[in-house]
Amino acid sequence: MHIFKLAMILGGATALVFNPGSAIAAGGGGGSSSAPSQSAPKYDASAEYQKGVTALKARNHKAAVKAFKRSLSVTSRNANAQYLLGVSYIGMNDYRKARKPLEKAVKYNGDLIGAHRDLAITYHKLKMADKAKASLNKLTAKDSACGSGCADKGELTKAIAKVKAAMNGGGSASYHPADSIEFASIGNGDLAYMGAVALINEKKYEAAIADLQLASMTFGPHPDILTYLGFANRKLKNFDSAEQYYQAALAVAPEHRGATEYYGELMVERGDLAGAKKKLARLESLCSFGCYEAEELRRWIGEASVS
Amino acid sequence: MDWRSVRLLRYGAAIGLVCAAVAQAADRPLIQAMAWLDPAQHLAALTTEPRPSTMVQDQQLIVGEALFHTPTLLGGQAAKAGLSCVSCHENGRDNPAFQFPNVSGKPGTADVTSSFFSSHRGNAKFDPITIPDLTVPGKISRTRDNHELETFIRGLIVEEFNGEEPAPAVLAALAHYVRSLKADPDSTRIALTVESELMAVDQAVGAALKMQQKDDSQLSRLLLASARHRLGLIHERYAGKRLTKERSAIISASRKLGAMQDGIKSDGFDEELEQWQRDFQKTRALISKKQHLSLYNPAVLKTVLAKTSN
Repeated sequence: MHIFKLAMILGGATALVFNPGSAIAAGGGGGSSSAPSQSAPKYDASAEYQKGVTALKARNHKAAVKAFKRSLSVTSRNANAQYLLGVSYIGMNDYRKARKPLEKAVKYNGDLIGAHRDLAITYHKLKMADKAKASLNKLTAKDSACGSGCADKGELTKAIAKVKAAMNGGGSASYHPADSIEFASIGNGDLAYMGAVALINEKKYEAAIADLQLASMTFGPHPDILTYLGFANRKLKNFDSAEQYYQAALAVAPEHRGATEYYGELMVERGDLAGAKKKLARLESLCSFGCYEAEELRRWIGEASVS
Repeated sequence: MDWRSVRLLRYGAAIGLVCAAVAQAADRPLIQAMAWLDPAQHLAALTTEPRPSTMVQDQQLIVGEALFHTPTLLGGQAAKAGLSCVSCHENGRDNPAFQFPNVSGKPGTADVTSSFFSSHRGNAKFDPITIPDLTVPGKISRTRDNHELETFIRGLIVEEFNGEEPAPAVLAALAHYVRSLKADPDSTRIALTVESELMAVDQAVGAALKMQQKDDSQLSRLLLASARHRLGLIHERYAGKRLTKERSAIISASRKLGAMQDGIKSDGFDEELEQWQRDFQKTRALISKKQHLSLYNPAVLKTVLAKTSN
């Protein structure tokens, strides 16, 4: 069984959001009473992302671009989707269009080594020598910080070599960064996700974030992954990042119980009890038969109110 | 047209509407438990249950059995997934169909030292074991003298599943339920009916009232959570447009219980709950009447499972 069918229950995600072509999608044109922006199709961001990965692996770059754009229409700050949109454009030999999504990818996740590498090569192809060099410098700085034994050492070494080869006129005229999506398979994604949840239970939040980012490479902006990225960042006291992840999870799945609960808990930690109570009210309306998420948030609010 | 043809047509229409409803909910399992049951055993596991095998029927046993069915008791990932004790131990036995992804090996097993559920017992190994049948006494002593069973159950809740520390009354009721389980060589499974679920709702609410009268608000609250959870289990099986009225009645009953959970310490709680019990009899009759159109009917479930697996 696909673990994310289970994970959706764990996270409490609701199905309608994950049903591309639902009532919202059917509303465009043809006499809808709402404004075009409101009746625009809302896609399943994770499903579209996975379609994009499949298309990219099949070297169907046009279909990949379409799918990644749809995914990004739901949540534009997803680094992996931005990155693979850039990779898809590179596959079409369109470096000009690849540039912006690659820039966004490294902005939203500075740890995406492949994105730094492909951005450096893209700048080089666009004859933006200074920017290409700056991107290469970021990779070499990461390599220096990594030392000799960090987990990313091999990937960094290869990335730097590839950028240097491209700058020195090596490599093929049209660069195909297919290795960027080698990891992305359902099996690997499931294992990374399960591992991340286990690491969170063991309170190893930084390692959990790394595994969640790996899972995200397979599943893209999946609400369960985004929720746990928020949770792990919250535990590390990165409250702004945590909030962004919770907001992204709720943009993808507005009825996600886990994201709603954890966002409410973040509000309690920030002293915003009124906001937390609104989240609790939302959970109570979502959980017709009661749910653990509401119980937990109620407990948080109760304890904060006493102290 | 004879009565059989009429009935067949009615089932056919119901199945069509259920399938349409399921198609709307593309990624959500038809029934929550399908997420942790062996797909090859879905039909049998979802339409039958082992014969109940408790030796006594007293108030504490009713409380223990209700808690045994309550996900909130376990906490953490298990509660969020909707798992309770009964997910692994159907009516206190084992569950040969249990197959939780990446936590079970073959059906009927579970890795009880998985970090997925626990921050305490993870051993970084995938080592699932066969789920034991609780009607057969094992290594843990069940005598009342040493409280070994209570200590063991507490460890399961707090350490294996990251649940909140259970109150002594909770542990006592659960231990009483487990001690009351009787080994039964007859492994014949009986039909799972909405009646047995409705009776469990009634019993849990009745027990909640009694616990509140004994000033045990915490346990009373947990029992109302148990009743609401079981209403949710009924609700998911009343799918499709033809059962809209029944679903609304089930949601309404649960929401009223939810409001009472919140006001458990307020004056008038007893009267409100007694009124709920009276009102629920009408809901109960409404639901029972349409069981044949619901996913409790093996014929309906079989067809819907076949259609949705394509």
